[in-house]
Amino acid sequence: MMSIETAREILDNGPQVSNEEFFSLEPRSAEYQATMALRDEALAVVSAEVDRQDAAELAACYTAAGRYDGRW
Amino acid sequence: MADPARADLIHITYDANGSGQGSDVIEAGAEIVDMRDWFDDYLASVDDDRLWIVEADRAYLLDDNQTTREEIRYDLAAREFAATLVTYAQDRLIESREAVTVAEGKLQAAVQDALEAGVSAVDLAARLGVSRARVYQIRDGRR
Repeated sequence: MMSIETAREILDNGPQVSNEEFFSLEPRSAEYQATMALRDEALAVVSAEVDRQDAAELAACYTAAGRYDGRW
Repeated sequence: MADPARADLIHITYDANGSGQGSDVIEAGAEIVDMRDWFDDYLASVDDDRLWIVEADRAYLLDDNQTTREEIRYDLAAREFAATLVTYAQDRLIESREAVTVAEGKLQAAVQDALEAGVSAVDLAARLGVSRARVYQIRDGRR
């Protein structure tokens, strides 16, 4: 799995190609598919990190409030 | 660490307003979610039979033994509510990690396709903004 830093960099800056170059690619071309797949993975990695933080924060908050002890 | 008050927003607002009026909301990422109805369901689900079991166990009674049935009911509901939210968040995390695995597989397949289609590793690396070595790592499913 790519690191969260790499994923954020990809989403912030994208693959190092100009828009003109990117949109000149055939949508069905292998390069286009690989580029989109890279962005999709970056998006999934960032989304997982957000969910990981959210779950950890919720557990920590409710534990601190005496409402959650890890048991159902 | 998140604001500790966040975890107790429901508790505070319900205590202060009785029926749950006011701004008892939980911040979840960028969303503001009103949990009142959901919490009310939990509170209603703690029926007298369950309370009787809890009281018999006395696990929820405070030291001064002045705890009322409604306080026990509220405490039990709040604990279950918290566990539900945490479980829900953990389930979402499992799903999002599965999505990462799927995305990894698609990227690997796309890179294999591109290389098999004759795109050079150098060009593909430049296109993706990664090193040529990384292109081969992705192709081979290595991390």
